[in-house]
Amino acid sequence: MIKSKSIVLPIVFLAVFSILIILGTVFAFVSLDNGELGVYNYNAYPTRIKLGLDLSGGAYAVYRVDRDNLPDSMTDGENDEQEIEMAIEGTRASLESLLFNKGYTEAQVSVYGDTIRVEVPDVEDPERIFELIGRPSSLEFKEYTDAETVNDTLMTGDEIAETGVIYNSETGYYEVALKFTSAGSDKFADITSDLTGKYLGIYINGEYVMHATVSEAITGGQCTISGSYSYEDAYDLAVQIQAGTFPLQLIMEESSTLTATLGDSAIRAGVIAGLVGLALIMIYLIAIYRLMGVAASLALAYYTMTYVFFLAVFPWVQLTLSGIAGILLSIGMAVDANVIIFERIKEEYAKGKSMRMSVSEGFKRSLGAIIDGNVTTIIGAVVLMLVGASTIKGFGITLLIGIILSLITSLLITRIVLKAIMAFHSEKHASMYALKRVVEDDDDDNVSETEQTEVSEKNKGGVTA
Amino acid sequence: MKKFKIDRNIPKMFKIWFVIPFVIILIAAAVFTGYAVSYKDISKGMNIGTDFAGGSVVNVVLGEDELSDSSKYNKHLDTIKDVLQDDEIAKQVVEIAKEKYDITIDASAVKATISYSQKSDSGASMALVVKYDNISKTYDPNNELTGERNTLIEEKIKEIYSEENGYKNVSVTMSNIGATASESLINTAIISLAISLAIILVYVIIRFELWSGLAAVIALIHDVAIMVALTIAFHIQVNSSFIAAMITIVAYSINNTIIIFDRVRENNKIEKKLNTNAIIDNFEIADKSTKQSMTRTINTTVTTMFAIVIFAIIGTASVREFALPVIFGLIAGFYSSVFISPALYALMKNAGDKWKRERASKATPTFVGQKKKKNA
Repeated sequence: MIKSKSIVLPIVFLAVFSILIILGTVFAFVSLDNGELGVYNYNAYPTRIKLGLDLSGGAYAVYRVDRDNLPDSMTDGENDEQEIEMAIEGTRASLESLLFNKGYTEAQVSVYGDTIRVEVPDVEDPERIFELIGRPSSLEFKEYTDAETVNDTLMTGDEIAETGVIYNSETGYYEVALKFTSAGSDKFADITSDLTGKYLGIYINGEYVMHATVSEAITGGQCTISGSYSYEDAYDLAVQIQAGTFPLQLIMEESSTLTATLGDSAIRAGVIAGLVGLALIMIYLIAIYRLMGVAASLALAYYTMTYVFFLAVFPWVQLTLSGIAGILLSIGMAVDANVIIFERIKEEYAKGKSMRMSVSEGFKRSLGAIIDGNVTTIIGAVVLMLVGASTIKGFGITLLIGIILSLITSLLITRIVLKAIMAFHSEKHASMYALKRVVEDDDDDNVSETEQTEVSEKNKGGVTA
Repeated sequence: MKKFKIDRNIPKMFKIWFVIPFVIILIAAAVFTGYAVSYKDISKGMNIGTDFAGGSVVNVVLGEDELSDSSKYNKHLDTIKDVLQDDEIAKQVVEIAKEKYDITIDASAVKATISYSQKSDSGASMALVVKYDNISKTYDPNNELTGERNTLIEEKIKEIYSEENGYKNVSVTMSNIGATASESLINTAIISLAISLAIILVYVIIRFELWSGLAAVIALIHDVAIMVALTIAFHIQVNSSFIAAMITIVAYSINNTIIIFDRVRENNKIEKKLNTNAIIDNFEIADKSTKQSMTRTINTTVTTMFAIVIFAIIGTASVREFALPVIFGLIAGFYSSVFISPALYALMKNAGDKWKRERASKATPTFVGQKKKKNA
């Protein structure tokens, strides 16, 4: 019989877990205005998910290639047009990577003739980055001797792959971090080894910004520009320096806002489909697996909540139509591991093991398959993140978050919830978990059945041959 | 819950299973040819969106009063739609094409279709922005004809929104935009798919065996091929989100196959323990494993389908355009993991085993005279 002591913990756990899910659900739908319940403004966390161009609209800018300021190689009369065309394609690629780095993962860049059109979703003040791209900065490294003397340029910013903003906790100011290309790293290492013991100065748009003592050759391919920058200043400078590395200079012709091409109706359809789908999956699971299905349903509710929460929190996520579909699929896939486990549990029980033994065996024996199945999906997601271009990268991140969360929920949460529920029951309640001792048909270990199939197969072969 | 009682060996019926995908691909090819012939243009065989092909944009500044209200917005959108499909304009473009550029083109290939509409700016300068496709590059490689057509369209829209018709200060501007899904985006997508497949192949070979790896990857290629084929067959518009859909399917579909091969791996172990000398019937093992995982395969496919099918049903046309290929992919994934990959595995493994046995028998002279069994 069940000891009263052993069910205290499960009761507490299940109660806390249920309250957590209820709270999570409530906060997903309810927003509180200032003052209500004495809290700050609170917006339901799903509304904080950043949306892509198709769902929320954004802003666009059209740039024209500055034909009056072309590099010399493009005006020397040799294959000029081809070179310009290639440079435009290069500028487009640089622009895409700049926008991605600065958080506009769903930016769209298109080229038509001499014009480059940029569309970005409505996040983080797009107008400002449009402005900055049109005001590129040139960066130069020179030896610094004193304030008056200007030495020859040793290296320009063209070899910079990426710029970023970092916070220096010692000075309390922000700094611009530069990451060189591999060729740039070598060049920078040469320069710094030549200048060891001397000063290296950084000049932006020909003006002196800072200098520092070179204590040794810098081979890491990175350096920082420290000035007394606020975050905004450092950010602006970082964008302008990166824009300065573009093969061509761009002039902004126009910019304006855009509304969504799909908009609210698509989001509403997504939310309804998600909720109804979730309900159907839960009904389906409970119908087939009874109390095991209840455990899986609770875990699924937990999964959906945490997934939505993480999508709202992670900065690289900008949800598009494909993202919504991805989430909808992931809800269905999240129960996959549980279905595999439950099928195993049923098999183990059918073989004659006790209920609890079957559960731990079921989890143990399906682990291999679940790990293998998910590792292959993770491979796909990671490759997308590393190799793919902007949009695809963001998609890979969304996919990866989903897989990792679903692994945690199915392997950990379901297990704990299932064990807690089982604490209330003894062996005789097995039918409440859809567990049966006898396998009804040709399902695995029934040897005689398999043999029979084999015989009938051979007989058939004999007749037709 | 019902169990699946199928007496026949599923992988052994591979001839039927392998034919069906080819039939689907043939149908897709036929539809492709049908569209290409009717438009007299090979690029129209597939319904490619402006994301890939680029297009034209018309900007009509009507102000917030005319555009905020959705019924007014739709009325203006319809007006522009009518202009884009205008027979008179199409006729004029066909004539210009013949006289000025010496191109014979069908009126249907000249008419523009809208890929999307949205609003730009705010207040009095709020504009209706409509993006539509250009005349196919097959006829008009340098967009000259598209330019001529757009001038006619611009004139017509200006005429409709003129002061005589009661509109004031409606400015109409036209511009061209290139493909937002650049070649490099498509290329990197294909490259990352290829790399994923290669790594998945290596992983499956290490964790399982060579034949499982090959069968799994062939099944994945099948899924993508069927997804593309059905999208062509139903003439659904392909745009950049289609790439995302394809990747999703590859990422999820591999799961189904792996679960079945996990059973194969386990059953092989059991079989080897039970009879160490006998030749393992790979079809039997593949069949047994498929049937053991059938409940799970069906359950997972059903749960994954729930939400996306509802999404397709209640969503707008553009939502459906995206969701349908995903549903096709899920069905293809189910099909390949149950009917294609186990059969492929058994076929290849049998061939591999036979090759091994033959090599072994050649090495031992005593067996040389023995006749080979014809039975596979």
